[in-house]
Amino acid sequence: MSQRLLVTRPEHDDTTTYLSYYAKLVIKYAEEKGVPVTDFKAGTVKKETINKFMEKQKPRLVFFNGHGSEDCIEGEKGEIIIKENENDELLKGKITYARSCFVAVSLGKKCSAFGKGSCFIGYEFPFQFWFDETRTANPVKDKIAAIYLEPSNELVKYLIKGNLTKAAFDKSKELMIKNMNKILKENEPGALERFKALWINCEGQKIYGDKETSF
Amino acid sequence: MNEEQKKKQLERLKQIVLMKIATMPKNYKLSIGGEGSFNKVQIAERVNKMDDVGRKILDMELKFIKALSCGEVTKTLTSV
Repeated sequence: MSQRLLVTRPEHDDTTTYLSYYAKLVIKYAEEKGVPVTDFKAGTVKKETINKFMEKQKPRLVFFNGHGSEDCIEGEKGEIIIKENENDELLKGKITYARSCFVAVSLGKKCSAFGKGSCFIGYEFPFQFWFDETRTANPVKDKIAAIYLEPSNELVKYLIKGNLTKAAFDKSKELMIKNMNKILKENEPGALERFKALWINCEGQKIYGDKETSF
Repeated sequence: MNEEQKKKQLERLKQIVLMKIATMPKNYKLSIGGEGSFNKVQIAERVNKMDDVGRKILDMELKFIKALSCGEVTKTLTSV
């Protein structure tokens, strides 16, 4: 395994564009910390390339951004890059965080069987967030979306710092809860809806596999 | 719960969602993963149509209401 961070960042709709922008902040942080990063950005998130890279380079930390379902993680425009019982063994020995809907339901659970050093963090409900349509040209300036996306960024940053997977998982949940309290205190229009979306992300975030491993 | 009661419960749930969604600022959109992103008008349309997206939105609302009523949300909020 190499001490490398692999990031996938497709950008083909509002959701993936936001995830990609926020993932870029994690890349910047990793580079500042001297962690080598391989960034599969928009246009390069292809199954063949990523699978080959994972096989040969064996990055220890994998951060998927994009759509997903119970048994797969997608790349560019619906192309499946990891599928349960097809190429999920690529996740063996790795710490995987998939910022994708439903992936924890089945694919994530499967990683429990991969033994020591393998960990999967993902969501069993739709990963969701509210955003401000007037900020889509520069998502990092969207304070509405930041409430949802910053806690998930922190999860990876916490792993980069060398913390245990369970600690990183707990940290991001703690930040989500802090943000839920913030939404309630601000009590702005739509607060309850914004709160609900964050609560669903928090409840749906699951960890499987080795909870005591680190990057 | 019989079919009639289920229908009534669904109707009430729809009304709750529609009332809550109406409070959202018009420039806010909800991203629901691969389903896409929707502003309050589009959400109301999907909920009224009861298509896949509408049903997912109602499912999430029901999950949330259940968690609120059994104290799960309060427990989460006070856990840090």
